[in-house]
Amino acid sequence: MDVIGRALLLLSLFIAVGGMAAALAAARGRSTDRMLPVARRALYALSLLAIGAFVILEIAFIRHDFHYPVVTGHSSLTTPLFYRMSAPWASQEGSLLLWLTLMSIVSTISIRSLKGRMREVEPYALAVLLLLGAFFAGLLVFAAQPFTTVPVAPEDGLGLSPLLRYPTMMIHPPMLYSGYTLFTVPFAFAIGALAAGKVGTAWIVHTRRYALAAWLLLGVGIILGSRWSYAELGWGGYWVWDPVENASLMPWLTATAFLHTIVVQERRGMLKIWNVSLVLVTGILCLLGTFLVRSGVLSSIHAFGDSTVGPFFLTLIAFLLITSIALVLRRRAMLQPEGRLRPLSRESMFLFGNLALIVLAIVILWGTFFPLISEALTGEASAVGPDWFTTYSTPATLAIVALAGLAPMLPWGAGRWASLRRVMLIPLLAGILAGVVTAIAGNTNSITAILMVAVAAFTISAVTLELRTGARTRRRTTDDGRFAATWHTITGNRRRYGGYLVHAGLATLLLGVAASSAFDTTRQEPMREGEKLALAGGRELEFAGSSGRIVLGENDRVERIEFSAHMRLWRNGKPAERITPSHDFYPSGAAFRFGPVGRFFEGEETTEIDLRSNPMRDLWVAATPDSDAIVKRAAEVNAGFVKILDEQNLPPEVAGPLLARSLQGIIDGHLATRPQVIVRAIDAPAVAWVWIGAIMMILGGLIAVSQPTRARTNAHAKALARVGREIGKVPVG
Amino acid sequence: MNTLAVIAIAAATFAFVLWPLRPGAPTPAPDDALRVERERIALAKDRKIDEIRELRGDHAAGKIEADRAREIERTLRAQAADLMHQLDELDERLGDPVA
Repeated sequence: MDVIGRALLLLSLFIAVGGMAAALAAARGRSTDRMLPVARRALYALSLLAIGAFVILEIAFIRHDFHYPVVTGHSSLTTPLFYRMSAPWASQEGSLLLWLTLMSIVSTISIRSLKGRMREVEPYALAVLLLLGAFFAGLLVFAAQPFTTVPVAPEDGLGLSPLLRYPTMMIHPPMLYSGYTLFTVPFAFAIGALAAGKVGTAWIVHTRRYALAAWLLLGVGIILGSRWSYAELGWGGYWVWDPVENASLMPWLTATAFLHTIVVQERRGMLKIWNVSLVLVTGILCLLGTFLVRSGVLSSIHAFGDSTVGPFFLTLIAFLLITSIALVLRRRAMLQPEGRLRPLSRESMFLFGNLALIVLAIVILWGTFFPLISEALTGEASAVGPDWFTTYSTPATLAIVALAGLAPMLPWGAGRWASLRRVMLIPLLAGILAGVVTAIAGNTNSITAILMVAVAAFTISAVTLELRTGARTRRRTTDDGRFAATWHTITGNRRRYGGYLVHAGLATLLLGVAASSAFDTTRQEPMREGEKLALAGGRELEFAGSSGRIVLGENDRVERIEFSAHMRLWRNGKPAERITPSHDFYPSGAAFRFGPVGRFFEGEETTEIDLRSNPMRDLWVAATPDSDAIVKRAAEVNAGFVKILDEQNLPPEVAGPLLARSLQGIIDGHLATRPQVIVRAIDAPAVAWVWIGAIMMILGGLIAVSQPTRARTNAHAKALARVGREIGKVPVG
Repeated sequence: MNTLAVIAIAAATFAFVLWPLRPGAPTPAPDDALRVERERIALAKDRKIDEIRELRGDHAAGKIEADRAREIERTLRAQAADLMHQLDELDERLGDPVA
């Protein structure tokens, strides 16, 4: 199968390059009627070839085919099927193939849905999409070959990193990559519109849904990554401003800005240069995100190691950046606004929100690349920490959330202060009240936390009032009841009310962040059996003792050795809950180095936290045993085991059970010392609201993306005029 | 076996991609451009109607005064009417008015 896999990739490269040539020929008017279909078919073929190659790689992982070094490096006989299926994208080769596959599928859908529209733009867009296809196919053929094989397969692989063995990690990378690849569609059509000189709203209308879907999936990917970080990484936070996290957040921010200002262009014919620049920047940031994850240029908790693809990515990014700037400059005369922006209007608030989003993206970009910048300027790489990011991102974040509440309260065109004051009164009072309550009840003087809560309350109440007003207006003109009116108001304008739910979700998320970061307590102590750790609210955490066990995976092989700490949570002097965090040792593949027994303690170690969560507060507990003592004991037992093997030349049926007894002996020996553990307990209020806010944002995005894009009616113009008359039934004023 | 499979896949792929270049391949019907244009105008008309509805909602919510709302609505209705005329003309040219 490896030969077929290699052939599919090579064919993908040929087809993408050939298709790009056909698309460019069509764009230049050379046999357009024939060349354009050839370019389209090249894209369709590319997606089928990429799917075929990806399926072959998946089969290799599922079948434990260790002839492929990529399988050996990221899977093993004990890796469960669920994680073997997701292991391809833990590797560089597999993730690049996933990029190519998703991008070609999404591109195919976007081109097929054109159905003859934008004939002048389509060839250029096809050329860009096929260029990206050729780039990734080229990487897979020359720089990161997934189908390289070795003549003799190793008996076992190194296994998937235990940190990645978490359910959401199965879908987190595909979500991010789907977001990145979906955004190539607006990017390609923006380039196409500029190149063809067709910079009206047609390309926006066609690609808006892709941009929205990209934004949605990127957001889902970011949240899944954040949840993984919180529940799996063992440090207790959900956001650490890691370069890889930042890499996905930056295009999400610029995509958010783009989704807002395209409405202004559609309605008012303004911000054309801004929009086209935003979509180009977002497309390039998507590539930059992939580059950051895959190049190893910046150290990250998601460290995927150094790789050889970095220079290729930089070349592509530089080429696209220069081309984008040149095209915008060339078409700047066509991109002039058709109207004047009035300061007190919804479009102005969109623009202010955009500026805040861009400032935030620039802050994150600067902080992320600061190690490279400082190294270039001073010769020494120094990084900025989470505190730096938090300090500089907070003002922009507050402005974004406040504008998310303020913008819906203003009309398009020109609003008036008197109207705004009237509409804004209740949300403003809600914000002030929430801020005062936080300051008094929370007993805090943190201005940031008070402002965050106040701004979030302002926005949530503003959006809720918007929906209430919409439903009330509907009830006045229809027979709908309260619930039906609300439902029909939302479904009647899904983009708008989906967007409002996103705004409310963002504000809710900010509430969670404010409360959990301002009022959390972290305790970290070494504990012996019977000792207690005092927590907030009259609670105590008692360490009752340790246990250990050998966990078998597929084929009855040792998957890991698990040490659990048994804790008891006491509330007001009474035992309330049992909490059992654990610490796992995964085997190393290097038996030649650590020995047949020692290797089981020399692979990766992970801390499995125990999390107790409710809408009010989270209790997050991790316990780490004395790893050095366990590893030392394992080395001693290993030496004895090897000696017996050498002296007595034991057959496998005797050596196997002896190995099992040795491992159990190490566990029992360690537990017999009644060892102490290092306990880390984080008690934080309202963390659940971070996830609830995120879910609200996702739901809002889904509602917005479900807005029909086809013309609503096929009725004859006379019937349409009747629709106009229907609208006229309710006179204004 | 692998070689045969690779040759078959490559042949099928090239045949699929180059199919439009065969002699006598059909070219797009001239009506297609008109139908695409009709769809574009129909969408633009729908957006205008949405804008009018939203304007009325904003007025009902007290965000915009009656005189200003009336003035904007007059403009939007004129634009919507213009788009409807364009749809009529296109339907006549297509000779296939959608009932």
